[in-house]
Amino acid sequence: MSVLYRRHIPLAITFICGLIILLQFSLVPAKITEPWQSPFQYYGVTLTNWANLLANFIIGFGVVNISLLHARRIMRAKSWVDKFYSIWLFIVMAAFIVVGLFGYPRMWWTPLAANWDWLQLYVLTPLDATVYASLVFYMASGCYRAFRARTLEGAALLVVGFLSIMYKTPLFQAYAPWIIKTIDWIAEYPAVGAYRGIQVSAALGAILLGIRTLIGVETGYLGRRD
Amino acid sequence: MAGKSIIDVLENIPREIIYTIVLIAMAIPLIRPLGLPVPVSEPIRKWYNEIESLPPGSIVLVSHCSLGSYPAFDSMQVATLHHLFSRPVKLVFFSIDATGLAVYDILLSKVDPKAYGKVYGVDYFHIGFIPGGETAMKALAEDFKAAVPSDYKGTPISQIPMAANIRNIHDFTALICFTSAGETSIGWIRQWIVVRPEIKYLCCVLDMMLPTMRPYYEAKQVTVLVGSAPGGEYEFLLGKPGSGIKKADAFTGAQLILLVFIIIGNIAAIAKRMGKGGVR
Amino acid sequence: MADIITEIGIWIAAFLTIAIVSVVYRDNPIFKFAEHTYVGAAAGYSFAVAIGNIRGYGIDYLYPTLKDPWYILPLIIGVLMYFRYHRTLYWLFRYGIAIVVGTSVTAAFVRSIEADFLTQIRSTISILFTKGDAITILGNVVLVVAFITSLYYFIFTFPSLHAGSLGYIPRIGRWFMMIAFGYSFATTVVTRIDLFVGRLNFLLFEWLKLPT
Repeated sequence: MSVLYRRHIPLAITFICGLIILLQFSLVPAKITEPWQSPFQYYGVTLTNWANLLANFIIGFGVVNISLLHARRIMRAKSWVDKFYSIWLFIVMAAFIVVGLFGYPRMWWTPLAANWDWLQLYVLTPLDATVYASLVFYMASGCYRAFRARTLEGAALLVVGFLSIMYKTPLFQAYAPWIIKTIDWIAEYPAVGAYRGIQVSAALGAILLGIRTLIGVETGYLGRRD
Repeated sequence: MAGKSIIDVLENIPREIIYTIVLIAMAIPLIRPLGLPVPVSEPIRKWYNEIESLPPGSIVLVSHCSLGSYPAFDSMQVATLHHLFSRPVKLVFFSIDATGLAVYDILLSKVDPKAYGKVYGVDYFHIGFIPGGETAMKALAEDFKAAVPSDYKGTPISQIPMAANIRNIHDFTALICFTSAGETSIGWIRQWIVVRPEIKYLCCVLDMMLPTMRPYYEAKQVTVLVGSAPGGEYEFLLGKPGSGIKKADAFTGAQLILLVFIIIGNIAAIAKRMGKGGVR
Repeated sequence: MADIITEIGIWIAAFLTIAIVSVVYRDNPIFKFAEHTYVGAAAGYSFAVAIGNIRGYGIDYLYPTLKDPWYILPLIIGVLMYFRYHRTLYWLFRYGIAIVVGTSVTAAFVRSIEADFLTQIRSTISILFTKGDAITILGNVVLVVAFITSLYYFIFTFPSLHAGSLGYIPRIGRWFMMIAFGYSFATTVVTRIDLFVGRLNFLLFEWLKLPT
């Protein structure tokens, strides 16, 4: 009995939601402009908006997971130096949550709007923007150490990669137009063909995964086994 | 201690030296621009022409980037906004990422809509962030007002004058997307272009995603496909120089250094394989 | 006063930028400090945005005016999702995630059949019938061969299909993929430089205020 409401009902809900969307796609005429003109459109639109609303609750899991992880770290840490970083994380998280609750434009009451803008611009922006930007140095090191021709296929990758970097360099774009023509041809024909093959294969896999999820074979999203 | 050969030195340049040289190669052209010509490429010209040919009164959905990729999209987004605000079109801004609202604030600090006579709510508005990725795009396409009950400040959609005429995807003329995520750029194709292929889809992605998106462009699912790097070309075309034109020289500096490192690394590796020890 | 607060903000932003970049030289306490600041800031920011969205897309349907009473259901299911962390009632979380997964997976894969599958195949086959000069026709043939061989490489993975004379097909596909990845590598290089130059712009012209 407990398996019914712990596992079977959630799987049935997944299937029913998928069925509603499938019926919406298949049975609603393309010229429909208002949801109330077709019941399938109405139910499909409502379900989609509910799913978007529920996705907001999922965002909160990040905060809970991080809090549990760092609370455990604080309890297990032996010295204050080890605890410091996790405590600092909690302080920053709390500051953003409190300022956000009274400063984020969509809230009911926003006396801290200027503070929210300040935190967003001078704390979050430099951190978020720099994390991916700093990878340029690893790229440079990779170019030097790993981008070497060891096999024939590697040599093909190296030659095309070398010419492509020249193609993307404004100096060569201005003074060596033959590189533009060569790499444009490579980008338009062999690269498109290869990437198209990769993407069609990936799409086939994704479609099959979607069907498996709907029929209840893929259940990873349900979490731990009962 | 036995001396290291030149080949050994060239094969094992310390990474700190590599990082410092790359940093200097990027910084010097920013401080002292080289003044190289900025040839305008075909995709940027096409982007310009598509925006220039939008009929007056068109409603354009602009999905801007997230905070993490903002440094790359800065010049293209700012130049595009200058162009869009200078045209008699209406803009609906949308963020597919939670941090996107910070990007919107930064953009509007660089491009003043009032300088173009544009009024919030009448000529443009922001619908905020809707999580869910493709389900958010699907919701916007099917029933705009049900998906967006209020703008990003919480103002009910019924109080936004320009939203009165927006019911669903059929009321939009164009979709402009700036994104670093393949799921987003391809998601718009799945949820919008498949439903209404006549919509103009102007897609600006990080350059490393161009090969992934190119098959969709060749299949005519994307009207214009550009990378984030040639923002300087667009600024040059518009006559609004900004950070993009400066970037071009930094690209030259950094990429030349990388080409040199690739050559050095390969020469050293080949020499070592051929057993040449070099001068001691 | 506003200028001083802005200037303090710029200095904090510059410190955090340099702290994050410092990891490329070696792991250090300044980077760890910035890293934990980032995790806390991103989590707190997302949480505040999510609460705002729950108000805008959910609670506003019920209060102050009752626009759609059915919205009480997803709000209750959303709150139940936090039972994920409960020892015995964790299964309550599954109802919410089932709705999200069922809807989003179907919305994606149904459209994917047209966008990623049929249109791409149609475009590849139709390209063989397009007219053009010799370079274009050669390119179209190369495109189709690259498409078929790389598709073969991924889809037909039985060892017997990669052996003998059939083995040439995936090998040709691999060559085309190497060419594609070589081009892709260059675009990745440009992207990384693009991202960092943006931050360098900030450090040089907004923080150090060097003349432009």
